[in-house]
Amino acid sequence: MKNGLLEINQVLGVWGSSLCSNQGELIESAPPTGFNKTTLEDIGRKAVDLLSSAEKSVTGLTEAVIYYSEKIMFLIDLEQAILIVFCTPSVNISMLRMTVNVITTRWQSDKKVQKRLQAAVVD
Amino acid sequence: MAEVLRGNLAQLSLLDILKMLSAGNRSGRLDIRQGAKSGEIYLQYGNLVHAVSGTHLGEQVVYTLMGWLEGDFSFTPDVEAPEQSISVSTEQILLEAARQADQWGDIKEVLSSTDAVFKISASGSTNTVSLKPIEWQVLAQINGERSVIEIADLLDLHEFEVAKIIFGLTTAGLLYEVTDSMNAFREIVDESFFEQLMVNFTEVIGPIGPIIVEDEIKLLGEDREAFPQSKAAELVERVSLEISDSVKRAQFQKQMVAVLRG
Repeated sequence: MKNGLLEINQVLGVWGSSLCSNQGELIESAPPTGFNKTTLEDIGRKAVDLLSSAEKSVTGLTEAVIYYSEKIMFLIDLEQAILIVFCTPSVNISMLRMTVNVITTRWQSDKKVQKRLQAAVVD
Repeated sequence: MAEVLRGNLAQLSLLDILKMLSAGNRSGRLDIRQGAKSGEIYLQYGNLVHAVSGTHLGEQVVYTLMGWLEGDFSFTPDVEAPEQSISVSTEQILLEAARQADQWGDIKEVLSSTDAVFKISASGSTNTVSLKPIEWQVLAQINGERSVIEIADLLDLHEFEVAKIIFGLTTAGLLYEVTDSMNAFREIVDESFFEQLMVNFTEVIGPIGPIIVEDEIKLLGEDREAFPQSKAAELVERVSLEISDSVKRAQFQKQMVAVLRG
């Protein structure tokens, strides 16, 4: 799982990434320098709120790109978890989206990853 | 007609050259070249009488040429000006040029060159900003692709004027310069990219693959021969959405992401 995040971080313009549960709890991270667990969980909870409230108005919404100051936050709903990618404006969103898809598709057939994601799900 | 003076602007500034020619009461044509751009300044007995660059004429051209910190120059003596486009005195022009040269010094700290490209800052300014009509016109042309020179041409303004406005807007926090790594995306993709895209996509989707690729290129408003690097990933992503099997789609994307990364 960590390797997947590190692969995402290799996309030009990506600053760091993290994976959190549907309640915002941190599952795994390869974060930007200076981001601790508390900060990442705080961001995770806000991401969950944002995606779940947006889903109420946009059916089938699975991702959101948030432009905040000079940074971009890319949120992807993986059903059991939320992937958060921190980017600079130079990021190529198509390149990032495809890289994320390659990795999350790989995770779908990885039993260890699935076990960790399922364990993190809060009903 | 022998050239008596030839050199590089990096070694001798245009202002210094003009001061020298003016003090020596020289007559002739000073040619300035920077890449594909060029300009001509004509002197008559040490007085600046005509300046031309592209479609621009007059003293404003002299000020624009002052902004070229690199490039070649050559002075050909005894060439008569084809017309007179400068009406103000040479002393006035040189004084104004010296003042602008100082301003160019400040501007160059924010603008790497007049080929620089700017984007509008998402965060904006922390203070209330009021813009003059001309500043608004320049701001409206900022799209992350047009250079300072291109904006000047579009608005029929001089480079210095546009550079000064962009300098002001940048220091106010409204704009930021697109870096070289971002500009790299403006390059044209290599034909080998399309060959690999066609082969990989046809392998997954069958012989209709190349037709879908050509259609998507058109939908992006581009030509295959001059397809920008900045849209290569978008093209791959759009094409990949035609693959209904999610595993095969991810496999194709993986191959193409590797190609895009080179």
